[in-house]
Amino acid sequence: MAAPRFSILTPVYETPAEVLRKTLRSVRRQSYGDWELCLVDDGSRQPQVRALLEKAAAEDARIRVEHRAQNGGIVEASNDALAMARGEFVALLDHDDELHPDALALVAEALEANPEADYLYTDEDKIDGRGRHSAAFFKPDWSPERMRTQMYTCHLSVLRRSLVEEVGGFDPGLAGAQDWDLVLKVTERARAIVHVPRVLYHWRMLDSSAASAAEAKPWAFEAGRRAVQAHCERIGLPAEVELDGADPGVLHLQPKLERQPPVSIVIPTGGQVRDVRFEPVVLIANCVRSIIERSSYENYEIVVVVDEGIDPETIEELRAIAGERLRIVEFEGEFDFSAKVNRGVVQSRGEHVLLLNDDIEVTAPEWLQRMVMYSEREEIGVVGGRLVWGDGRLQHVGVSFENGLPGHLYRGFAGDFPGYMNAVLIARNCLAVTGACLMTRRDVFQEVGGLTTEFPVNFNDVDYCLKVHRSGRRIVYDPDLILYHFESSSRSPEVEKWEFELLTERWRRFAAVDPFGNPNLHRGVPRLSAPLAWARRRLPRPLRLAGSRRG
Amino acid sequence: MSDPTTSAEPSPGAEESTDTELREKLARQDAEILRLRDLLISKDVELGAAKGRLAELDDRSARLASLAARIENRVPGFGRLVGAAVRAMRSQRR
Repeated sequence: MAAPRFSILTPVYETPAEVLRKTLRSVRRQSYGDWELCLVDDGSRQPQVRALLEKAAAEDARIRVEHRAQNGGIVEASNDALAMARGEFVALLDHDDELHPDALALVAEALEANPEADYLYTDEDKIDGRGRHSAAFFKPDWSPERMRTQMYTCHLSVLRRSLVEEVGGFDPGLAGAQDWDLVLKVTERARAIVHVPRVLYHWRMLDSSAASAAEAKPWAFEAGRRAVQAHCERIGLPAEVELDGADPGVLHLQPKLERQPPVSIVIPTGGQVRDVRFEPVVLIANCVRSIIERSSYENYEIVVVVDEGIDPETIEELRAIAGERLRIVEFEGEFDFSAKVNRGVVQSRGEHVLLLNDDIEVTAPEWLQRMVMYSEREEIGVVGGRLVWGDGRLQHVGVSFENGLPGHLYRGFAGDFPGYMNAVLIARNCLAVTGACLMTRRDVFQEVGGLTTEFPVNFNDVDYCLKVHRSGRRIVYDPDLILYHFESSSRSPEVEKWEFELLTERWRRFAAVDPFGNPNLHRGVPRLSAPLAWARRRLPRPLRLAGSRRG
Repeated sequence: MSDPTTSAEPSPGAEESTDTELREKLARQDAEILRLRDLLISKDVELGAAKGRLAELDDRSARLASLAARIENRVPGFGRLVGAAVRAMRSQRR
């Protein structure tokens, strides 16, 4: 593929001279030469803005400037800049921010490796008035579910110009969230979306910039909500989008299902008794009672797979609690979690199957609607949620992979721990979720062969999720699906060496690098070397020169 | 002379009142048990929050320890040098 030309779109309005100089300098210092800078002065009254822009244009033929007669706002100015663009791709740069010197070179390199990419984004950080870097945002690869609850791709965004024009450019009705809206529209049609895991954009913290204070642009958050709501309507996702009460940068999707497909809740149990809130309880009875009492979903059955020799009184108690909804399936033979689940699924009738541990307790009425909302979508294969122990600590918020081995993110952290960049609070894609609460469609379960009996105790859920991931479907973590998991927090997972070996042998290719992690993160937390990520050395000279072409 | 065994027996009215008292006492005890259990649960949640913070700090200190060990491997004596520098800075401040 020929080296692409990038049109950098920068609307300018009353930018402090020193800041504007730095922004322009960061573009002119790009190691990649084939770019044009489309500057639109949105009616600035300060004379130095015009003077600086004119001077820059006079010094470099790749810089072009237009002046609007009167201020029209960010969207109008951005659309004017888009109209000036002649490059194959447009890159969005705010008037007070800076690009890393290799930003365009690394994006061009990514494009060469992925010629079908219609949208590319990079990691970013913030700089203060003295040029100090902080708050780096190390992002995952493309995560559509995350994009609906957080504008995480943000800067640097590079979009194929033809697609931007096809979707109508920036929407004037969504000022403040016009970029979120544009990215959503473009990614709905994109053939490929590429993440460049390098800090290539520096977002300057000014008093008026949204980077420095969430309160600075409250209208922008409402515009973001409307952009996502419109996106949900376009793609047919039955959800109402709400702003988070505490952090308006986080959105929540509330399910609004038009139909309730049949759901089978499959729960394997040995009828164990454990202390729950300082009282001994039969776990399966507690679990089923919570489902019956709290679920507002109508169309479901509960399939309990019981070991032989279970106390008949427990069965009677379950029948008394669940009545017609209950189906008992007996399992004989040695302990094999996978085989028990598979037996239960075979005996069930639902379009969606929910694998549930007997030490789970339901907390919210719409928990099944929430999972069905995602599970109904063809491109999604598995849905999981946020599990907390009885004392409120986090037990499960998705599984991450490090060197090919799975681990629970933030396990044992306080219940109000938000996670890196709100990872606990937003919907996300991950490679796996726990089988303690896992919804999947029956056709997907059958297609990938259910849970493998190669893993009778551990990793059967992880293995299942990886099979689903390999089939091209996504795994979703929903933060608003909160359940109690009365798993003993002191329990050792007791994973055998052969289980680790088998897992890595089966999934070496797929799980060696977690696409929903980042090279600068370890188990969801920035590495100690991460603060220096912005300062990574520039590309070697031959690479920098590749694609240099004066416009 | 009255029969002592007969006279020692409570009258039907007295039996009823003892029974009621016992029931009331049991109800009070049940309520107290529930109150204490609720208190225990809320304390457990408080303890959980503290344990959670501790887990976060543990995670951070494990990362620092791992980094220090890696540096120490490459630069033997690095830990002692840093320790000495910190002590020197502290003594200067005093």
